[in-house]
Amino acid sequence: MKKDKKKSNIESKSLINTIIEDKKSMREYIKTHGTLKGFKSEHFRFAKPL
Amino acid sequence: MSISDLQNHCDIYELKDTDEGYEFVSVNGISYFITFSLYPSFVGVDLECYVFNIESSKSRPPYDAKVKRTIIYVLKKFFERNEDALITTYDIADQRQHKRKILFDRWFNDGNPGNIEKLEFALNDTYLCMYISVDNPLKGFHNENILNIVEILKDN
Repeated sequence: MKKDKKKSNIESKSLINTIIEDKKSMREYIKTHGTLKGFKSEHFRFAKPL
Repeated sequence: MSISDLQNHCDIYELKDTDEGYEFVSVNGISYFITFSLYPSFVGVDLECYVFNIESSKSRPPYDAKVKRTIIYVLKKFFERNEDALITTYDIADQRQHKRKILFDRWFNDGNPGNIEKLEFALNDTYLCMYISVDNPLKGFHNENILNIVEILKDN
């Protein structure tokens, strides 16, 4: 049980850093291309929940 | 102001569906990109957890009340249609993360119908905020997961 919790923590840490990096990447992409069209990430997928 | 009020008064910018999410252009010609990202790394969480993000084609765009109303509309619509959680963080590139957070807090407070709870954590350089319906039965489990993230980052 303890082992599972430790694993979950490590993944969470990695995730939050990834989120921050992805945010920067999107901003840079928009700065270069003027749009987000065509932006790809191997970490996440875009969703349209509305 | 309700969503139908907003729509009836055409008081928001027209949202365009794109492959990446939603987009609108302000009267100043600035494009705004609204995204909801899903990360498969949210292991062990039975609830969809979207990372909400807003970017614009111009850094430091001028204040535009219609932009604010459009964002509030999107947030309201999300929580009307979903029982999922939203996570936001604030860019630290220009050290204006605190100002961004204050602005977004104001928008959230103006648009919160009263049933959305905000969990907020100060990290080393920025903030992590999570928004979830108070009626969500999995809220407690999700809170625990976020607390784990914060604990680890503070240790570094």
